[in-house]
Amino acid sequence: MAWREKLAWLAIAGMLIGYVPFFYLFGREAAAGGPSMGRFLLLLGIASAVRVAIEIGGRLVLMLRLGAQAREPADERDRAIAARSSSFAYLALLAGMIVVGMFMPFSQQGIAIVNAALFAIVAAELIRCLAIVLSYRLGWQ
Amino acid sequence: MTFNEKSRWIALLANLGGWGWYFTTVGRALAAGAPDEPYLLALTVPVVIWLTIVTVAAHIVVAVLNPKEAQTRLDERERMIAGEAARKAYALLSAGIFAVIVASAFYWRTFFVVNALLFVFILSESVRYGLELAAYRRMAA
Repeated sequence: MAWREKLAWLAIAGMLIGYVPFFYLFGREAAAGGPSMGRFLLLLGIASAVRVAIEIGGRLVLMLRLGAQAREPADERDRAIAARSSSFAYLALLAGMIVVGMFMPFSQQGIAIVNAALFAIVAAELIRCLAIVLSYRLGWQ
Repeated sequence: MTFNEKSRWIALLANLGGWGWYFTTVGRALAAGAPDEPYLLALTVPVVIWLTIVTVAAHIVVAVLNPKEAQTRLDERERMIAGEAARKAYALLSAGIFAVIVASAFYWRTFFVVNALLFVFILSESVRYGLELAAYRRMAA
């Protein structure tokens, strides 16, 4: 498995472990009247810390185990896959911002808009990482 | 100048014109005090309609003036340019959205958050077009 594919798997794991519980808790609390901004930021801080810890810790373990492979510079294929995956994610994030910035203000208020923006970032990052994994697996580049 | 480069110029100028007018109007209303927020948010609808009409009309004119060029597909270099620009715009958009989420904790108003998100969205799109155009200019030089 390519080094950058491993990093993409790591990022997927970090995001799923960090943000799925966050969105679940947020949804539950929103149904019961909604969390305050302070509570929202606290939950977000914990979720982000979990994600960062998994990504940095996992990267360190991989670097120690793989040695030279982890230090190899990106070749043309890696760069093409990174650019293409970012293009997919960018389109997803743009679509998310259209919903958040142009449709939601007419029907939603407050923290729901901020949470939707956060959801768009996480979804776009997941799309980027999945596109990287699929590109290495299926030879898309 | 290739069709794709002309297309990027059209998109960049239409974006700057349409959204520049919108944000100037919002800025003036804020400076004058007590802005009519629902009215200002509703202004995004005519801006999007205007942008769509201008962009489609300009593309039709360019395609009619040079139909052969309009039918050419993106070559590998153009795809790479688009991918790299999208990668950088994606990073900018993600960072911008995250900054708005954090800033909303200190200065919370739906109108502010929505406009800040829209601004980041337009900025990242303009940067993407600008990066593509700069790469095309470098290629031509």
